[in-house]
Amino acid sequence: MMSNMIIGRYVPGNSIIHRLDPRAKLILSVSFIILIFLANNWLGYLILGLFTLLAVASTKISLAIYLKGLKPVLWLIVFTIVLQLFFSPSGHVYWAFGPFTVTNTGIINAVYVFLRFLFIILMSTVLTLTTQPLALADALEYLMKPLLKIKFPVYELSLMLAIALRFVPTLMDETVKVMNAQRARGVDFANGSIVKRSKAIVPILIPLFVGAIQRAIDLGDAMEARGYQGGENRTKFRVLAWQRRDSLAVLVFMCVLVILVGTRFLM
Amino acid sequence: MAIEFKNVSYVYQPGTPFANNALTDLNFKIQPNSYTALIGHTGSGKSTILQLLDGLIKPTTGQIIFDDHVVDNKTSQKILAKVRQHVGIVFQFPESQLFEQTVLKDVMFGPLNFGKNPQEAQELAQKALRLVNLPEEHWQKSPFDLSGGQMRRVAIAGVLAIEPQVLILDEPTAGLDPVGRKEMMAMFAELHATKNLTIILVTHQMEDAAEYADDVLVMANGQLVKHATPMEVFADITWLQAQQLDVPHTVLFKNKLSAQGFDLSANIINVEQLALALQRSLKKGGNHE
Repeated sequence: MMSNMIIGRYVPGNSIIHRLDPRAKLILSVSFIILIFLANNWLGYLILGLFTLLAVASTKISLAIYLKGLKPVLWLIVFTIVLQLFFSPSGHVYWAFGPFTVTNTGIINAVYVFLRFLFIILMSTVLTLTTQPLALADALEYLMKPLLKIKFPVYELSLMLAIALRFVPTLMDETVKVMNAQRARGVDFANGSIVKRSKAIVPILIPLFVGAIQRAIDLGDAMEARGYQGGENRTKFRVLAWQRRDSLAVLVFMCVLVILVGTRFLM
Repeated sequence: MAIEFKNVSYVYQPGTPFANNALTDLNFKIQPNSYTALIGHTGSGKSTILQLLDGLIKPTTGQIIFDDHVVDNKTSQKILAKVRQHVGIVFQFPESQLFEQTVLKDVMFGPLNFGKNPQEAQELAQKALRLVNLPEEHWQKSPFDLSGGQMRRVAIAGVLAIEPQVLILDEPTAGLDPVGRKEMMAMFAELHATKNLTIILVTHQMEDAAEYADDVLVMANGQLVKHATPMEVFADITWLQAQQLDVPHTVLFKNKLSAQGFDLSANIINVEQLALALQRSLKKGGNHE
């Protein structure tokens, strides 16, 4: 069941994208989402599509994994497309029935919306598939540093993030273990009414909470025993290094941005 | 209940980049009322076998035959649930599965799930709690107020309360003190003797396997590399070490004594046998001077 989750998973590799600085990847993929809304014509979408494909291809991870990542959001994509398709107010009407109308602008908008979804999901999957969660946390810490000026607890937050990420796999294992133990005692998670199935969650949640709290207490003690006192004045072991390829990636992105703005005037 | 594995293989997450071959072509049979020890180094596939034995997962290929149920890749959840009712499994650190408000309620949980009415479930729970020797004064307490060892007894009672014919134990004494360990293992031996239980014990304690088991399965890299009596398995020290397994202290000690000139037979794996053999050897007034 958990094995089908592709979002948030890391696939080890050694492609050019894998080796990019996590800060570069984080900034670029967030900016990419803004970039997408600059495109308003087919040429712009074509360029964005090529750029996305280039990014996906250079991760050297098989396309099947990306397609699997699309599955959980499929219903959202379909829902939005249908809305766009049947409820467009203007344009040349091809077909109408009651409140439903299909117009040429409706069709075009539906295609655009579909492409936007596709690009955003593919790009964020590129980010998560090629970046280790801890590297991502480091990048976030670095990028949040300006917030120190407004007394925002950046170090504490990034420690929290690092610990949380570290314990995701542990808690997943624990969940599977507890579920197995309760299934062995006759709990059925797959069948029955919604009420029955929700009740079946209690024997999992309680042991998990108890375990997580106990683990937090133990970890806190262990950290104090090793001399941890708080966020300020600590050194960093994992140091991020900005390389030439990172600047290059930003440069490529900038080019796409300029071309995209160009197409807006052109078309 | 007899359990037979026929050409069983298991692959985790097939068809993904995370695919992982856990078991390859397993064939063995567990006889009714036997005490089987399952040994092997970490990652050799022991836990996967346990989950297959309890119908928690289905084999990727091959069949598992439980007396009158056959489990293969296409078996429905309903049949698996029936299998589960006859097989009780005590996972590692089973105390992490406790959740009810009182000890008694927690032990009743299994029987209730398998369709017993509250009255019957309570009787079964009381019986199980007596079996694991938990004093009655603790029965109405919250399980989280007990000590680690007591919590483990409650968890084990929770499994025994479903009255399984096969009891699977995954390192049941891990993290217990020496007295607790001995008591726990003696308790299982007694259950085995008095209740006609088939026991399957996963352990890294070779002494326990040598002491209690009458059948040993040795796993390495997802394959069954030896299926024999403890005597045969533990006699071959070089082979055991090649499998990254320990040798029971008794066997090591016996070899040291033999090297010193004691006349001891080869068939010694537990303390009692060693003591008897020593006694005999000394009576003969042997050549150990």
